[in-house]
Amino acid sequence: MSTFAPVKPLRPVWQIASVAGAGALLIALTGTAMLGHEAPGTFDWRTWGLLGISFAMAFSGSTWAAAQWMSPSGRASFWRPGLALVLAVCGLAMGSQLDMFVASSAGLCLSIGSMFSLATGVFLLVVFRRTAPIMRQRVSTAVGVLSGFAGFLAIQLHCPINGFWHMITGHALLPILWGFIGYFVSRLAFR
Amino acid sequence: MQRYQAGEADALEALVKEVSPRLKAIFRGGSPESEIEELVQETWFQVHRSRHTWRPGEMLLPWIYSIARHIRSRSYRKRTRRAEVELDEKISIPAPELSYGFEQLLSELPESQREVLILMKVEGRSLEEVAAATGSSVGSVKQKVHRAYEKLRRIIGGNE
Repeated sequence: MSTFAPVKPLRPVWQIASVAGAGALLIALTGTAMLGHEAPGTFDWRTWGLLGISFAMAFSGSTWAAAQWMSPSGRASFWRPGLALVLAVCGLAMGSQLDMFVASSAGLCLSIGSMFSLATGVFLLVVFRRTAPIMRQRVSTAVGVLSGFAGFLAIQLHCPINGFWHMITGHALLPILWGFIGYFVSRLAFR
Repeated sequence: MQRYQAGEADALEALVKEVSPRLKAIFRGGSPESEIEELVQETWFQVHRSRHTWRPGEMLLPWIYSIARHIRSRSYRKRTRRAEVELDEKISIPAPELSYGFEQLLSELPESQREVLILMKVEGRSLEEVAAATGSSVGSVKQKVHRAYEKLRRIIGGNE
């Protein structure tokens, strides 16, 4: 009887999603601990509440989607992380003041946040390494978005600047930016 | 499938023998006849590469069909891209067919309706299985089948 290498089936979706979500959260909070927690004093409980809900939705939604999409028959959608980003922007609008856009400070936050996004991305690549080849682009995009949210969380808890445009361009842009990075990197890598 | 995951090639052979005709039926109608064999082979290649992503307890056929759907949409995208390039060089519109065979009838339906009709009526799959295979709800599958019937009725009525 002919044989080939035996394989171990994937773990259940909830287990993979839990590991990915917990790991991403841990990296984000470690980032804040390293940088120091200096969030703006103008943020009240409503702002933090809305941000908390949006981050919970973003982390759970994108980890669930990525874990589902590891298998070709997995079904998920991106509406939850998308809605989470809209809620986060609403939260930032409530707790911030309208400012002038200053490219240098936004760029600094974007680059610091991106470092944590990169670290999260590397960790998640390990978690999702057994994705089915035909699903790699989707999973990679979801991993990018989740990494972006981890960077967003780390920098949001650290940055003391409470200008609206600063937070939009320097913080909230991270999930979109990293989602695109995830998508294009996978397109190039798994053509 | 569990035997296949454990490394028994015989299990794969049995699976290929049983499922390949069904895959051909799915690809037929939406893809040129010359490409069907290639699409079936590509599906089995991807099944082999993704075999670890099937979880015990999961329905097997919907899992294989999901891979086939990805292969088909990828091939469709490639084909339409190629067609755009070739259009300038060669424009030929086929004459309308007057007599309709079953496959021609199916090819008149939109992709999503054709797929559910084949799975339900040719394959004999249940509503739940078709919903799982196509990633839609049971209600949506029912609606697609109903619309497919209506369209087929119109086509047949118009050609009598």
